[in-house]
Amino acid sequence: MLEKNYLWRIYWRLAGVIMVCVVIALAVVSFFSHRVFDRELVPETEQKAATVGASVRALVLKATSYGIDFSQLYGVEQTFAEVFEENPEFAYMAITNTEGNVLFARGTEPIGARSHFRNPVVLQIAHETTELSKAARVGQQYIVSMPINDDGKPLGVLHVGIDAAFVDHVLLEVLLDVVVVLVVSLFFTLELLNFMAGARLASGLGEFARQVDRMRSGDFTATARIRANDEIGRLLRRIDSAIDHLNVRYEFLVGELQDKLRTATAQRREALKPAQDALEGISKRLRFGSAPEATDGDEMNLNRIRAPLFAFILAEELTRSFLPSYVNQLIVAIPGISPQVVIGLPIMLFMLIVALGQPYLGSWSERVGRRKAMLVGAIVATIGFAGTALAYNLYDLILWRSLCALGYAMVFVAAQGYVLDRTGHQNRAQGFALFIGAIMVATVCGPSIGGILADNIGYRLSFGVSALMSLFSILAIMRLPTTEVVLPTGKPTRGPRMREIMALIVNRRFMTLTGLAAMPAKVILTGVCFYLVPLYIVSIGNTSAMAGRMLMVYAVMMVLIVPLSASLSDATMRRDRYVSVGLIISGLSGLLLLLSDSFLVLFGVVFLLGLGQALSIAAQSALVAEHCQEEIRIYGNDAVYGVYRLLERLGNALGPLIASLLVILWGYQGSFVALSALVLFCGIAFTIATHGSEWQPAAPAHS
Amino acid sequence: MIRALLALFIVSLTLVGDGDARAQASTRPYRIYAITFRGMTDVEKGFQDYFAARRIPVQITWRDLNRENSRMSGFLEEIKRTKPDLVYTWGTSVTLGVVGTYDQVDPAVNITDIPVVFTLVAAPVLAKIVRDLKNPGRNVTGVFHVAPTEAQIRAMASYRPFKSIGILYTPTEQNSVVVVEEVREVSKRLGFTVIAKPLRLDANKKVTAEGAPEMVRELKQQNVEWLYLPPDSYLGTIAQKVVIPAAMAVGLPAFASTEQLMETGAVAGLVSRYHSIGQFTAYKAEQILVNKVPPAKIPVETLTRFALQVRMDIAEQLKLPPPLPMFNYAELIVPKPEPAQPAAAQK
Repeated sequence: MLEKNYLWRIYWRLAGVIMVCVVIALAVVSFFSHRVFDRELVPETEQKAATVGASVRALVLKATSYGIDFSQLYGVEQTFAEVFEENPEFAYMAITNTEGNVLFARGTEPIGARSHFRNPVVLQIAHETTELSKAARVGQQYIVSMPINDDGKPLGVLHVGIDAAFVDHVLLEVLLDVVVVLVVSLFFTLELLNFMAGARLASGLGEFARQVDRMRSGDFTATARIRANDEIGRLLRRIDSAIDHLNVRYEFLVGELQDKLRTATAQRREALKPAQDALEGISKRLRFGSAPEATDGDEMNLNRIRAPLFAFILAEELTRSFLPSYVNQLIVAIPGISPQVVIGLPIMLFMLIVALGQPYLGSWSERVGRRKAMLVGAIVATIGFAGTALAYNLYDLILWRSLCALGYAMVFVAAQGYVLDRTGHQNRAQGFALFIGAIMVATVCGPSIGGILADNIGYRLSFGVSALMSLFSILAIMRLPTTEVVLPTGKPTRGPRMREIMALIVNRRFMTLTGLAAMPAKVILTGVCFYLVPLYIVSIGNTSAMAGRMLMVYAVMMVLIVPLSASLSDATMRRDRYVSVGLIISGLSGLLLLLSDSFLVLFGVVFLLGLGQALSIAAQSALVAEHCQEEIRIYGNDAVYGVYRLLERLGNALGPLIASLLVILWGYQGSFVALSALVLFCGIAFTIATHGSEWQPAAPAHS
Repeated sequence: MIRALLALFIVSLTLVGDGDARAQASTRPYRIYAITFRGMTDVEKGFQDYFAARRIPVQITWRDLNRENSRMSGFLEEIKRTKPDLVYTWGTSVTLGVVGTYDQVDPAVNITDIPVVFTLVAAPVLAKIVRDLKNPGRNVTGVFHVAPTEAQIRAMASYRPFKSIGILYTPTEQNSVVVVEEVREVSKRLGFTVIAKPLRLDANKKVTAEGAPEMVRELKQQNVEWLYLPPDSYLGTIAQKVVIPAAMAVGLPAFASTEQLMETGAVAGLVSRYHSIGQFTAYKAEQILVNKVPPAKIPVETLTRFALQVRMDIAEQLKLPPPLPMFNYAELIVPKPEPAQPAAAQK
């Protein structure tokens, strides 16, 4: 028996094999590049130590040339300290005399240094008159030793210790980048696989499964489909020709029987009765003839939205990890507004435009066509990205970012509409899984890659890459089918009306869910991930790449946990419990910073935040339908969800504002803690509000 | 404790070079009457070099007070008789002798109708030569030469950190008294103690060197780590013969506030280079003579960069070599008779 699931299993198995190959190849490449780096880094640093050491030696020789006794030099440790200040990779410096006794030293002396200094091979260095330096591993350091020799008269040896931990740290940084690239490559490969082969294979296998299903149910009608010229297509063509053959034989049989019946006598007719019954039985059980022309290709066309959507969302996601730092560079003092708030301003405005624009852009994209709407949106955003890359100061930056926001809202809404148009009730969830999937992959890949880009080619060029990405999406959108699917039943969607917004905003049940769960969740998401993390990470001397890695942790949590929690919350326990638990976990995340301010703790913060959000996100919107039935009955599904989404997105816009105000009051760490405490409070309040009661819809306050 | 933040103190006076086109066309050179206090110094050399570099023709009449105030009246009479274009005065005493304090000017004695440019006056306002540095308000302007007190203290600390410093000063010299006050102010901020000892006055209320060596020894016993030499005229006259030998005998390093004190045998000092001071003074004179700016409107200024000087011979005697980083930026002075001996370490 051939099931569709079986074919999907084959597809995933194939995809799995390809992924494993990719992972192995990447792992091997990573391993070797890491080893090469390891091999090159230490000599590079040793060379630097020799150069820095030479300048210290020159100073020492200058002092002795003025008649100061070598052992009576003063302020040598101070010189060492100044060297350390400029070169954090050096952990120890020492000058020994010709016997190997330490005269001057500063920093952490590695274990075994004293005996190393007395080693005859090391002592011999003092007699060298050339620009020689020798390196050796001593304890936890690489010690670079060079002679202090006054024109043939050996004075002593200068030792510079390179901290192995520093080298390890650099290597760890590189390793983390390699891991990021690995993860991103993995997702990219999946995405490409899906784009190039997957969609085709999936539709081919789906077609095959449908054909087999049809035959199993006795449908042998001939189809006039054009089969793809691949293995599955050829197989299907053979099935088609077999079906054609069967049809011909059936027709022949029917014709022959009818002929015989027409010419036969009554007796003969009686004798033919069993044959006629058998044939009738066959025609009842099985169907022959030609099938009606089926509308085909929706599933295939649905898949085609994925590539342009991914490319476009990626363009925006690339900027997440460094946008606040970039704004900080272009900041202009605005009287009366704290610079902290000003940094958050472009993000806030972006979210606000997306929130307010979406309801209205939905019906607009319906009117002009999804493809055209996406095209316009992508063009607007491309201009926005290019402008951002070339921004002169904060004011025009805000204009450019607004264009990006407008374009983002357009593309988002139109792509959503595209999926809606091409899915029915039975495959809508699948359609949205595809839509969300493209976005999630972009959120995994974007910030991390963007961070690495920003660190290496600068903020402006990174925005240029975003513009390029957005440009790619335009090309991909142009390849979408030009024919729009118009749903016969669909009445035009509309934005929520003010009357509905006002009525719902004072509705207790609706606001418990929206005000205590949905909005706080978004506030902490944008406040922490888009504002605080990028700024705080850089403020404690880390890189944009590190901020990108943090945001990747969040996105990976979402990708891993959301499907799990979505199916679990349906199966095991009440959805409001998932929301409660999710909110409380999110609310605890920032409190971790009370323990320590290390960036490792920040990983924990982002991890918990991702976990909390992932647990609650799927359950939240389902809860609206579950608990606001009365409201949905009065105002309609579209209106209730419209207001819900609007408020949720306003939460997105509020996040950076609230976070920045908290930064003014209590600094970055305080802001993390306070924002989390706020969400924790909302989570507890939500739990109490929904506790015990079945939360039955009561009579609405207004009608 | 005190972490000295010293940038480069190499004097770079870039005033020369903004076009020497102002070379005078007229054949008659400017006549300058110059009075020094203790003979020709590098200041006068810088003063003359500036005019030469700018190709401004000047004819300078040199007179030396030679530390005898009685000679002043003769000079004043000569000025009034010869009517030079400009009078140049060296130091506080000479300047006051020529122009008087702003609240006690006697036109019969002091010069009021001829522009006066002073140099090497440590504290022109305290000495009552001008009321306001930015706006002298009388027919007098000039150049002072002492680095800001805090910069001097920080330079001292960068040579050798200290918890306590001693000062000898002349109680009748107002500028010294004020500098001592300033050092006390800085000490509160940076956290060190100051032991300041006024020099004794004789029966005629005249300052005397008597007892100065004892005072130096007392300071040493009170555990001061530095002897600070403020810009004090009388101290300058006794430093080389009385104060420095006493300090060297007990191993107390001296820090100088002027190049003159530096020459008496201080181990280090943050000073204005005399040559640069002279050039800057000539620049002021140029403003008056060539550009015809009234002295009353020319601000009294000092250089913005100072030299950190170290006497290597004194450092060696005291066994207090300068800290290694200082070899990068200090002006290391090795006295002429004994040139640098790279092989000194061999002994």
